[in-house]
Amino acid sequence: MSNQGVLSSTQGQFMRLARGLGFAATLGASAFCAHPLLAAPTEARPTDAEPDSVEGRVVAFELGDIVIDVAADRGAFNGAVVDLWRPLNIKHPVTGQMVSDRFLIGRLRLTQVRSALSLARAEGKLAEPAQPGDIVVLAARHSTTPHPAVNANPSSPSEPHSEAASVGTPSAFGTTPGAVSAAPPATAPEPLNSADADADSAEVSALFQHLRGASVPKRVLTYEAYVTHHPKGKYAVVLYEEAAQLRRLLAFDQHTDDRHQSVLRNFEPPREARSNTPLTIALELSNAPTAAVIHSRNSGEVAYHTDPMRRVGEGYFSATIAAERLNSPRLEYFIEGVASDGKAMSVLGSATEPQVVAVEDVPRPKPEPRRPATVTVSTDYADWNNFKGNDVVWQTEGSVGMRLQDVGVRAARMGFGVYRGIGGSLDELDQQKLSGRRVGLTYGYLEGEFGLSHFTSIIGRLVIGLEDDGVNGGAQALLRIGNDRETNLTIGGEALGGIGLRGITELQLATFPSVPILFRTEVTNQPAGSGAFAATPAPLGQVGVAQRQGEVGARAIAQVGYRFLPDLVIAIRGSYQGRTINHAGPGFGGAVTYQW
Amino acid sequence: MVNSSSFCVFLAVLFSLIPARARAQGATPRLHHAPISVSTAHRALLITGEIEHPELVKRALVAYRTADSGPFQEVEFRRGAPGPYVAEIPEAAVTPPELSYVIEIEDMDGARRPVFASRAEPHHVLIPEDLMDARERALLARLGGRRSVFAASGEYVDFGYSKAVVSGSAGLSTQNVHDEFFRVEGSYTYRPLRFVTEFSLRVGAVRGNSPVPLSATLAPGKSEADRFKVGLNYGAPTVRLRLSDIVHLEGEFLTSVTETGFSVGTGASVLVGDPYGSKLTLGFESIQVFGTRLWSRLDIIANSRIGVAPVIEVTNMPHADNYGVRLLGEVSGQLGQGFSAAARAGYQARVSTGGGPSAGATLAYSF
Repeated sequence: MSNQGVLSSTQGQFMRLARGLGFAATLGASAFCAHPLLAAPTEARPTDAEPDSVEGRVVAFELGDIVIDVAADRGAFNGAVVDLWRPLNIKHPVTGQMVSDRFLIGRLRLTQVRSALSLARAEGKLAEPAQPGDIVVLAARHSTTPHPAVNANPSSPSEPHSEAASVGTPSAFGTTPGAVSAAPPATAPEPLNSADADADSAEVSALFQHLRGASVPKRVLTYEAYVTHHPKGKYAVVLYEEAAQLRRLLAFDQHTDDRHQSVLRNFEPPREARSNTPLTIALELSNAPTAAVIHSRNSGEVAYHTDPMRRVGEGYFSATIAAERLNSPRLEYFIEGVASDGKAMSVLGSATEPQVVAVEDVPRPKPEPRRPATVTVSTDYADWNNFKGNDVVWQTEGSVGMRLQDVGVRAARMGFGVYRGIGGSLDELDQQKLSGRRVGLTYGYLEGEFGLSHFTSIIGRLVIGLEDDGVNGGAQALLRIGNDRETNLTIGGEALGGIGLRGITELQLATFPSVPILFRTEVTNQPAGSGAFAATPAPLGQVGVAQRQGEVGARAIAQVGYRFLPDLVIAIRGSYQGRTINHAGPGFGGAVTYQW
Repeated sequence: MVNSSSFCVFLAVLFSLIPARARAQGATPRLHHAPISVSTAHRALLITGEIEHPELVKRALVAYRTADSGPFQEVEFRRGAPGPYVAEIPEAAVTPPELSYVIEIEDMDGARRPVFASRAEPHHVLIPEDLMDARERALLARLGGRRSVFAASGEYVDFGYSKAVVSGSAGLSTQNVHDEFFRVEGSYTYRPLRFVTEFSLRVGAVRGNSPVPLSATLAPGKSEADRFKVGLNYGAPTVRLRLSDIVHLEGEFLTSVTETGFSVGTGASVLVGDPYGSKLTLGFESIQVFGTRLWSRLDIIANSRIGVAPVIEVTNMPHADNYGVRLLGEVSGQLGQGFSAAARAGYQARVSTGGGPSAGATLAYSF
């Protein structure tokens, strides 16, 4: 598509607005100039017909400069300013005739003038990027010095005239009214002389004077008001058309650019909020929408809760987040306006990037929530060697614990225990027929369970206790797969000083609520599992006692309980363990658990 | 002179016509401001705004009130910085839990109209109470308004018989010592319930027998027969600090005299959980000569009046040669009228083959 072919939609709109604004401004300028006191010299308006103007073309772009064919041989000079025009040729859709015109899109300053070509750069912002083929017009009067007409009106030193006569800065839609007053004669109306000035012209002149710097909507309303009051006025028709055109362009502009942009004018975000305390959020919007809504959600909520905002003044909207919707640690919210067509427009934040306000819990004199607590007492006897009494363990333990939550610190327990055992190596016990070595630990422990999720937790236990020769300790670490209130599997290990090591796998079945079942396997060298013990001499008075470390054995336990009361469970257990198929024996035990 | 007066009159007439001209052009004064949602208590609230067409405004006002039923007070917007216009609600009016305000413009003819909210439905500003104040108030309510606690406790502890090394004419030998002591203590605690949650002063005495190490110096005037008699008279201020709702740190500095002379000590504990409910406490205390103890305690509130607490303690107190372990259980209860009581019992030993019981009680009154 050629540069002078059919324009894109945007370009077309741009041209229409330029034409609309330009004509209105020209009209205003004409009327303005017609005023006897404000009349400016009409020669200030450049036209193609002026004999002292030189016209050329943009021919190329080189090194960031615009190359034009107006050069020294045609009167150009360094620093000169040329007008840049966009030519336009359109086939009229009704008549079929080609209509040609051109529109000012900015100005260029010549930076290097040679004999045949010149380099130029944009002077200010161009309404549209320059293209090869664009027209440049060098007027003899265009120079860096102020135009003498600026001071032509002594009663109004510069402003009226500069608006009317100077070539203005191109705006987003084309040019300022003053700029378009310099349009080529193809579109410029015949200049009005002072003799044609009448009441209408004076009024229109005042109207345009009043509209200096006004927004497009205000111009539209003013034009329409004029037409309403002067339906038969000289400029009524043209102003009506201008207003209609501007309305269309304004709608187009809003649709393409700012329709869904923020129109927030004033807002002070709340820096904090309090739980269960209502929070009022208000803001001021410019170009206020017809309505506004606030969407809010608490931490962890996926969907937002939507509340309409009340109009509490011109441009002001307010909403109160209900107390029950304010929970710590934070509230997320965003606000949307509702346009006249019913569509929501972004005002403040968005669903993906909401505003955030920290919500602090208000301390309340509430009683501490009751935590489920448990007391457990258990005992377990294990014979490892066919009731020979030289490889046995008896452990009794009691604990108190409370459960807090699923995730995080799930539970804390503290307990006491007594561990007593007799053991030795297989060779000592079965071959040498030595007596088993007595070991024992009276201990207390602190245990914590940390929930990684509802399903998974880790358990750690620190043990401190007394052996025959003083304080000793140990530790236990377990991984629980499955919630502790449901069927779960626990895997881990334990080391007790002076006792030995133990690997544990435990399956707790909660299939039958009244009959909790537990299966447990252990791999252990306890009770005589301490390697240090093997290196020490036999305790005083223990002649013929096993000294060496016991071998690793395996143990299987089954425990069945019955819930006699909703909070009371009594269980019994049986076990079988051995270090070889011959060095083995049964075991038994029981447990009582009470919860409140 | 006449010309000057005429000029002034002309100017006055001219300026008086400005609002009329602006109004004739359909201009309406407006006030733009950022509505306030939350403000700080006891600090003046500045409402800044921008007025369109100030030449048409006689006054712009903020009407505010601190309670829903109270009368509205008014302050004017004035040109200032921050600004361009600012109205200042005095700090005396900015009190929790909230403040409400409305902005009105008074036109040149004296007519008033609201530009933001209305007196019927004013805009509410949350004035949050200082969290520390709220926390203090809540805790105090929970404690029945009782900030002070007097407590008295006594305890008997028996480690059984422990072997002590003694030096005799035949050299070193061991001797069984009845390893026991009793302790009585009185304390006063005050509860500010703020960052310093509590502070207290404890005074007490310990008397007993212990397997004192041979290296320990005998007090002047004491014979070898008195070597195993130990004692401690002490006083210890304690401060409990709030690190968060569920973490508190307690520290103490102890001064005392033992059977050998003056000694100082220190201790600290961390409380995880509700300081007046279920919690885990881990702590230590170390006193020159007398020994060191490390303990953990898990307080579990069984119901609104009863609590249980297992305690594990590792200690070489009182001035013992070896560490032992104490396994204790304590039951406490609220008796009403500010009285509470606790009873404890347990077992302790320095070797697994020995040991003995312990028992103690505490009676406290809070007011």
